[in-house]
Amino acid sequence: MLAALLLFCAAAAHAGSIEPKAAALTPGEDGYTLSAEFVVDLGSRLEDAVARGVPLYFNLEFILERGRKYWVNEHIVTRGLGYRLAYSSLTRQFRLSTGNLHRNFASLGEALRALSRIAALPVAAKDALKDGETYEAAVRLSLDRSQLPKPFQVDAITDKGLQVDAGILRWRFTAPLEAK
Amino acid sequence: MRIALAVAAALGAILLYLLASASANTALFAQNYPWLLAINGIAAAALLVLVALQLRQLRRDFRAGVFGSRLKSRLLLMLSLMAVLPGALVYAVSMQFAVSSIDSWFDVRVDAALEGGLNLGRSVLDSQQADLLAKARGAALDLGDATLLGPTRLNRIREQAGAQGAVLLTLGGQVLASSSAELGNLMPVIPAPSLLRQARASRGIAQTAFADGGGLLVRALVPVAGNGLNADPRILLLSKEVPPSIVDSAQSVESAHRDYQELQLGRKGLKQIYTLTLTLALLLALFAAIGLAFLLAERLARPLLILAEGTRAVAAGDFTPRATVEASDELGVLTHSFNSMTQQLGDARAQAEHHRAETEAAQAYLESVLANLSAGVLAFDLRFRLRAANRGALAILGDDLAGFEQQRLEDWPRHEALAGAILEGFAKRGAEWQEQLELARADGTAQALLVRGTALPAGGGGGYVVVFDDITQLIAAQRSAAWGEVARRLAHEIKNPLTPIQLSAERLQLKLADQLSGPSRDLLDRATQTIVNQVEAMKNMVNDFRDYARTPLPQLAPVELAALLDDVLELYHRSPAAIAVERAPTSALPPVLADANQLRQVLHNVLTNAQDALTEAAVPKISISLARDAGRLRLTVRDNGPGFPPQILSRAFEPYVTTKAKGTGLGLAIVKKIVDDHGGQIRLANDGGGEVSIWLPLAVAPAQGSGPQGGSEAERDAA
Repeated sequence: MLAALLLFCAAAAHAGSIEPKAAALTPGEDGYTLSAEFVVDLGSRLEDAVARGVPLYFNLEFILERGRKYWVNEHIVTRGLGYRLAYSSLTRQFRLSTGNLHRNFASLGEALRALSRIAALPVAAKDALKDGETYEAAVRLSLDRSQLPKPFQVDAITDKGLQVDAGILRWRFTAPLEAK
Repeated sequence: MRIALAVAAALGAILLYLLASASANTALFAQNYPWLLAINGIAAAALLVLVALQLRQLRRDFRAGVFGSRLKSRLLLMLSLMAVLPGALVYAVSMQFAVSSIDSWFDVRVDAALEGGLNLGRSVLDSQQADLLAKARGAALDLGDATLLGPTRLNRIREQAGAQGAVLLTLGGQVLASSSAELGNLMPVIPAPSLLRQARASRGIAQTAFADGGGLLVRALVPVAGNGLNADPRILLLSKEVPPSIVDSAQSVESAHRDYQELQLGRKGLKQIYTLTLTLALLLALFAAIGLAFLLAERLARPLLILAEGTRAVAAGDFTPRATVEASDELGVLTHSFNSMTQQLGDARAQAEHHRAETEAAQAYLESVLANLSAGVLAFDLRFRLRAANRGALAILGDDLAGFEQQRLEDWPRHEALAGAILEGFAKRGAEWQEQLELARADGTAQALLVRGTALPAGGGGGYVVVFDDITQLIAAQRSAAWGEVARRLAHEIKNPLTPIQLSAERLQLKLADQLSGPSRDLLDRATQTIVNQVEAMKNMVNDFRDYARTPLPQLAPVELAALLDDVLELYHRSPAAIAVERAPTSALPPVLADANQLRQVLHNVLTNAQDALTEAAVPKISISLARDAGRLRLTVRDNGPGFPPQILSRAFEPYVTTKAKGTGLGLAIVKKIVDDHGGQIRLANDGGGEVSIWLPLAVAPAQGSGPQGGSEAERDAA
């Protein structure tokens, strides 16, 4: 009953989206690194919220599995990375944090661009993947709604303007034969 | 249903507590808040379904008119109202309070103050930046002149500017020289190349950055002019820590501002949280209350239903004890006392029933006594309207008295003589009287009634009772008995002198016949002959009287009446009257139970009577018929003579009642006596002549007995 009521009240603001554009696994010296690119569109309401100082949390998830016949896929690697995007109104800078690493940006666009480009993120050790084997990889960057302030969480149930659709990019990856 | 309700209510309460806790911003539930909301909603829906099911059941009962459903509905309505009204009130007030208090948080002045505080912090940082930038520019000019740059020089510049760090960089970000106030921190933070280029293009920029320790850092980047044209452009970077007190204040203002903004953005959501929580609380409480109201209504209504059912049962006459409510309150006492009351009622009614049955039995007994009374009883009310007549009365009067209840006694259409006698008796002779009446029956025969009238006492409602007996037979029997006695005495007294008279007369003739001659002797002969004849006749008469008085009891045996009749008729061959015998039906008639000799006498008497009646008839004719009539045998002797004179008809069976000049009048009297002794019946009628009908019982008793049938026969014959 209430949910129906709220549905009627839902704002017509358009939902944001994070779509993966490209992703690749690169074998390096220490292991495999992930590089990916996303198109991040937060939507007007979330951008407004960020500009007013509400911190947003993003999760980058990467899963690598090996396909098996007649059986569920073998899980190889899961790599998660949390981002925090916040605006400091005192210094008028956007701050993107990953763990202890902070980056400051003068504008939201720069910060989002930095967020949407992931380069050389180590995801798997060298010996985790067998040479020549084909794996299935999936990557997704999503807004962590559970870390939104509570009022936003309730709002987000019905308000499209506070939702961000996250697309998943899947691709098949074949580990290269190491030249010995 | 009850258990489900309780479980749902308890679950709802727990969930509501969790929801309230979560709403109060407990970190533990913050993430699961939407789930909590959903589960609460489901609990509310479950309660709603339960309540709806119960309501539907109640409604069905109500429609079907199930006893007690109305009371339950009313109780439920009242209890629900008691729950709903305060609940709705509290809900409305809370909603108003919560929503308006949320709105009251957002004040323009607070907004402005926070904005102002933020601007203050920014301007402090700006002034620090400007200060550092100015100093950096001065130092850059200073540096630009110098060709050689040693650490001491940079140190001096740093100290002059009051900065914590000074770095000289190339445009590519290469450190040319560095100076730091802290010995441990030799490696300075290198700005991005874009920033360096920007600094060169704009003759120096200043910015605030976050220090590693969490504090704030003001940095100024200024291009340093080179000596030569081909000299590489360089950038001087001065960095200075903002004093911690300023940083703390500024950051607290910033975080307050951020929280405020967050709240403002989440205002709608916050209102929704409060609304949802309150509404869910209301719904859960309401549904639980209504569910509880169901239970309470049922509990409250149960004793009342028991009582109501009990009263209904009592009204229907069922006094068996009802179930009681085992409660120590007034309702329990009430059901107990109701039960004892019904028990008393039941006892009282059983007693009354018993009394009534007794009275009814007594009344029925009286009625049957009255009905089987041979005497006729007529009861009248105070205005002489017939109230009751027993069977005896109807039989004696030969009338069913239909419709007589509506008429007063003086208006009776029949039995006027009796009515008149009753009225006269009560009018003239008081409350108790007795009178003998001679009435004429419908068929003209006389009927003697002994009528006794009694006025009922006024205490019993008053009225009159008339009791009468048909004493016609009684009188006839009395006469007959009297005559029998007289005959016996006469016979005795007369017969004694007759023999000497006869003997004397014969002796006179014997002695005197020889002495006399001629006419004297003829006279003697005639006279003595006359005496002897008359004495003989007298003897016969006396013998008749004796026979009549002394008729012995009949020796009953089966007799073929037809054969007997043939036998008797042999003697009447020379009779001047033609005697025809009809036997209908022609089939063999059963034997009758009779004394053959006496029956012979009867036949002789009846036939002689008929013969005597025909002495003056032109074509004398006697017809005899035999027939079976309702379990008896009927013998009818009919002649075509003058018939019985009316004045004789009623008394023909009395001795010495005769139409014949010479008859003794004993013939029919003897016939009557014999027939009566046989348990038969005799009736006289005029049907184109005299008609005598005699009914005699059969030797073999018929399967079904029946009452006297002579009446109807006589009536038909009389008509």
